[in-house]
Amino acid sequence: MSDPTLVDENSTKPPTAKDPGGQLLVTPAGTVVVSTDAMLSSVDALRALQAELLIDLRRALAADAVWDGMPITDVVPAIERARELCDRGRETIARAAAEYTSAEQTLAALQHELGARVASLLGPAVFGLLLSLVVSNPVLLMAVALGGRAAISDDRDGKLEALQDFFRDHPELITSPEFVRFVSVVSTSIDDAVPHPFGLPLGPNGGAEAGAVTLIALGSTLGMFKETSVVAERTSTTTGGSAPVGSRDRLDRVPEDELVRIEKYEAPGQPPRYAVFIGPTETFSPFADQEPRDMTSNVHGVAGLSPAALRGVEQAMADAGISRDAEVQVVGFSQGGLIATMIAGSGDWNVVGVETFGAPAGSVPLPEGIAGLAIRNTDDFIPALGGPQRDSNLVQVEREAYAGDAPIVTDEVVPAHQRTAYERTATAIDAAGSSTIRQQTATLDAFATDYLDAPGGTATVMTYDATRVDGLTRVR
Amino acid sequence: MPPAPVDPVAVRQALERQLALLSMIVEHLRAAVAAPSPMHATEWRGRAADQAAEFAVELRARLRDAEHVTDDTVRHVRLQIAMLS
Repeated sequence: MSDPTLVDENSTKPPTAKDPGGQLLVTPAGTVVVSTDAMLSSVDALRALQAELLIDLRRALAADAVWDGMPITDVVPAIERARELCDRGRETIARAAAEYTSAEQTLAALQHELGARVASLLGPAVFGLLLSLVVSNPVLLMAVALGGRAAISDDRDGKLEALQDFFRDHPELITSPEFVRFVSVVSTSIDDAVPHPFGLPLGPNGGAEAGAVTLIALGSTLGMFKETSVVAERTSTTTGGSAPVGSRDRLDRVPEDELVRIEKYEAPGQPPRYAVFIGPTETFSPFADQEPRDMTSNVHGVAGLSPAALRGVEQAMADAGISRDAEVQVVGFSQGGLIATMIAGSGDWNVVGVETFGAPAGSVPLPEGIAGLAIRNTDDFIPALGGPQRDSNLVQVEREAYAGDAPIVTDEVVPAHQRTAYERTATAIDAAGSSTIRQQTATLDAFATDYLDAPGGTATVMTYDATRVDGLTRVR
Repeated sequence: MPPAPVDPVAVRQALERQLALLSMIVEHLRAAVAAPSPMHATEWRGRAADQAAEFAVELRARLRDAEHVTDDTVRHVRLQIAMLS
């Protein structure tokens, strides 16, 4: 057999009428190598077959070694030939994945270098233009993209509505992996365009973090992105309920209209565990008002600062009785995913599991040993606003929400970032065959089922909302 | 020097032990040949699909070859046992 390249980087699973999405791309924790779920499933199956053939081999050798028996000469080489082919298949898949990843990384590096150079050359000369294009439009773009619904009405001059209409009419312009790459370049080049605008210290690693700091500095001249104090209040407490099982079930528990839902799991003789489900952006004005789930929290979160949404969630966690030692699992969609990742990366909580959907959290480092998945649609540019993925301690799962020639819906502004798009991706993850994904989802499932399936296990569900207060005072 | 005396009981026991081990191998290989391809061929597209299919065919051929070789050996062992009767 010729040496095969078992992955075709141009291939995608054909979209179906129900699910227009492509195949799952998986980057196991601790690596930067991207594989498809099918590739990893094949590797798993080949490894399992090899293990079984090894048992056959040992039996054949044992048979050959039987004293007074007949010589067994041909069996061992025949089994060895099959085993050797399994090895070759696995190596070929691994090599194909590495080559694909290397090509992607080279392309991304070139684009980022080019973006930075162009930005630094243009910076002083066209500062005014950048203010409108790099600052205003990305903010408006983020606003439209993060929402994509009628709630976007708090703009001051009608630009949001115009942009919203434009992107609704042309969803293909912003629903592609190529556009996502472009956004990633822009988000990590803003600070190159504005070298030392206000003398503010930029993030230590540059990139999206520094770009967001620059945005805050520029926006502050227009009254944008001003952080405030925040107060979280419990809105409901109920007892009972089932354990979340599967990525789709967990996504379904992420609140849409409240800041956070906290589920407390108790089992006799065990310390309580908590699952924290954090909601997405609620309002899209860059001018902070009472709602902490806003653009100010998004930009401050990407900048690695202390957004009100994060502080509100942490207040809720403290009110729910979560101690610093209690085991916590955090789940979030969009801004909620960013906040979830920040909580996990802070070291202030004993987070043992993380699951995020479409979170602009690529620059947030996580400690090793946390179970979970960072899930992104490759044609959703919102995660790219957080810059390229740097952390490699969490399994990354990506998927094109609208693969191939699948028609893109036109009644939503950023289709690939909508909850419905991530619901389909979550369903695909629940059907994944590779052990890389299955092990993570099984661990996340067990966090609640270990307790609630035990005799006497109980769940308490608390929901919280939060309000910005004292708009002129920065906290922390 | 005369050849060592053959203990027919010991030889039978040895052959039956070999038969048991080899039969388990045949059983597994037969199942492996009949099992779906580990390459999940429906997930591949374009040139990759062709190569995955080729790989699956070659793997199945090697498994079948191993099964035939082991099955032949099983038959020889059975024959030896029958000759002892």
